[in-house]
Amino acid sequence: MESYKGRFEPTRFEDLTVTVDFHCHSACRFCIVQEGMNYFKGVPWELYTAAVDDNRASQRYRRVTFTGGEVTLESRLFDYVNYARESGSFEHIRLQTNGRLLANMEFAKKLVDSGIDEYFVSLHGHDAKTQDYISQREGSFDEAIAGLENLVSLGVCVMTNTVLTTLNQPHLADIVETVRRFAPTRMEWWNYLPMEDYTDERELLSPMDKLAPSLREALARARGYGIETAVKYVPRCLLGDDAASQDNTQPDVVIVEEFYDIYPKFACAYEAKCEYAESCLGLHHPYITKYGWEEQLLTPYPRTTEWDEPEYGLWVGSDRPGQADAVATDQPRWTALIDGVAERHGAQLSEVILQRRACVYRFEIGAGGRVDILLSARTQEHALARSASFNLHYRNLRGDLGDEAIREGLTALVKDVVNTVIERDPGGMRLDQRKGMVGPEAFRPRPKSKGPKAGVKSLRVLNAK
Amino acid sequence: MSPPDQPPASTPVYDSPATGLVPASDRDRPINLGFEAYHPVRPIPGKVRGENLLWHSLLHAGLLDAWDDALHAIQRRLGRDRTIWGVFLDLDSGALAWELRVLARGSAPDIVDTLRETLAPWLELAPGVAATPESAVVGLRFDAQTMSRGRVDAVELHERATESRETAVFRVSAEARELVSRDLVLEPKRHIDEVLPAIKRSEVVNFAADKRLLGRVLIPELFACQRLHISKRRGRDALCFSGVNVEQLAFTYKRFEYPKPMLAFLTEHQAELEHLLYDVSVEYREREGRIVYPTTGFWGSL
Repeated sequence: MESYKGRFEPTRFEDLTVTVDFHCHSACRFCIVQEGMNYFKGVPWELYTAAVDDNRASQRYRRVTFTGGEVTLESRLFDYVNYARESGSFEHIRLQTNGRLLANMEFAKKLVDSGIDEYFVSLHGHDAKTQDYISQREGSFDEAIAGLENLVSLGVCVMTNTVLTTLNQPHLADIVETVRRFAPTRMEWWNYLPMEDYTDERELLSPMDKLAPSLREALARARGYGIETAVKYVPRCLLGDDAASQDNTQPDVVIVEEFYDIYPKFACAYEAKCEYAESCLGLHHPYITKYGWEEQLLTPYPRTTEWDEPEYGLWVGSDRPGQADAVATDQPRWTALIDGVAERHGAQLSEVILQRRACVYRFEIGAGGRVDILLSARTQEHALARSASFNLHYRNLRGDLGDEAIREGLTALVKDVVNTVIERDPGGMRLDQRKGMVGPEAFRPRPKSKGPKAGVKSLRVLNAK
Repeated sequence: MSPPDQPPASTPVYDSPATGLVPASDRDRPINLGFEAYHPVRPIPGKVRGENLLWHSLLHAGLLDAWDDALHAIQRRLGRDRTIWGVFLDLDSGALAWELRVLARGSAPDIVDTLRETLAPWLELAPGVAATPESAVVGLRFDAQTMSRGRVDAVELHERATESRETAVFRVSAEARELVSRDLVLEPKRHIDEVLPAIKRSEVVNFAADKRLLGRVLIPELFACQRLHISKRRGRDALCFSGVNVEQLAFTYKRFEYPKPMLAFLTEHQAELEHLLYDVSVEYREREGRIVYPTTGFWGSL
């Protein structure tokens, strides 16, 4: 049994990220697509427009984010932006960028005029020396700062993103000082994920006993300036007074499916003891392998509820825009398939667990009775039943099954749920918006002469810039 | 809804003409290293039994012909999914070795006698040895030379007091009885407050000297398991991650560089083996401040 920490599929369903293409004019030392940029292509236009058209009908995503590579290098960017804007189906259009080309005011204005209202700008150093060393491009810091100045003067929403490594760990609070004059809406701090470099031969993984104090100081500094912060991939218990800034959610990313095969996996020794086990990922495996479990450093928040192995993974919140913290059954499109069934059996729908590959309805009935009904994409594989869109299974029957009344009650409930889903499923429902959107056509032919670098694992991923 | 104790009937072996592998069946009742039956975690159709990994390991070692009949004889005698098999890799020599474990059942005839009788056409098993009343499990180890020797001198008796989570393993021959392992079985996450001290109570690794060492033995990729067997052996400790999935098993193959044909076989059939859970063991000790791994292994049910 592998917990969600071992198969984390991050999403909050509200944001859609589109990888336009994979080129970059920086060469950040921590880049996790250094190899991938050799053979990754972006999302084909037809698939992208299909996703936008789909959203026009479903209104599933509030925001579309364009990324790369460095997306401002792509001549087709404006085609993508225009199509999103003209669809009228997104509240916000965001650009994820290193900000360098935005130093050109004319270009920055063109971006703003095209409808991009949010700018997520990477800033990994507090000064030119640090940033340029990290990006391996002289002048990149000055360009990014000029870009930020231009954006601020154009009155758009500006956010910053900093990848936490040994290279900038001593200067995190200094980064806050550097950007405070831009009054960013949010500063995000993403701990480095060594996906191309499991053993961290680049020596970029910062040990938590050094990283956490620096980060806490930066978060406190930002708080003092009224800047919202978000931290990813750092244990919550190490964030001190700013623990609530932990946010491990991610948008849906339109990218090749293999991305998720090598997405980093996480674990925490105190998973079963910690109140935040369902949202805090702990430490990633490469970190634990290099630095250990940090069992002395981590301090679990005492649980107030009994821990249970999260078989299906993290609950991801409502699919209603802006309702990511809604109650566990607030999935209107999905509860519509089984509305009224629980009541017919004196049962209760206690949870709807929505993931990329499954929707699980958890019902409770009587004293201790429980059953999960699982919907997965319709295939020809073995299933209890099939609706127009899904294979249906039941799982985790619990309760005194020796008691005839309980057994019959659960059986009737399962049958009713299955029959109701079959009856109401209109067909064409998809668990994963991205599924089938990106296939082999998203790869460039791989270069024949270049093998992977020593110590470098295969790479097909996208992370923060 | 635990599965029935005994499958209703045996099914033919090697009856999957498409692959030559032993197919899975709705009548399979796979068990873990603790002889606990579990429900397959994926639907059965199209899947194959875990024992195919055992047969392939023997094939890879050139021993399938030597052991095929003997192991099938045990399977027929005891029933399907009543025996645990293990495959071990010596990480110094690259040699493979194997183990069978059988659960002694109450008033049934002495299990050592049963094994001895079943294997008699091929080899002599631990003459003069009988299972003690405390023996919950009897283990039989063999390697590439065993069949040519025609004899297994000792068996391993796993003895556990009622209600205890600790098991003592004795290697017993006609001449000697020696303690070879003390095992503590815990849930890795729920019992973490006991797990960490138990691992750290070690005569072979100084965890206090380097906090990083714990991450090298409590391997994060395998931490998501159902049971953790913490073993103290002579000159080495071991962790057995019980109830891992086939992806974690494949990770183990890669992490410890199992023979390429074995990895290729697992990779080829990974989807057909994903309905099962496996038990993975890693022996370790410290040498010059680093963790070294003498052997690793994995188990399934026969």
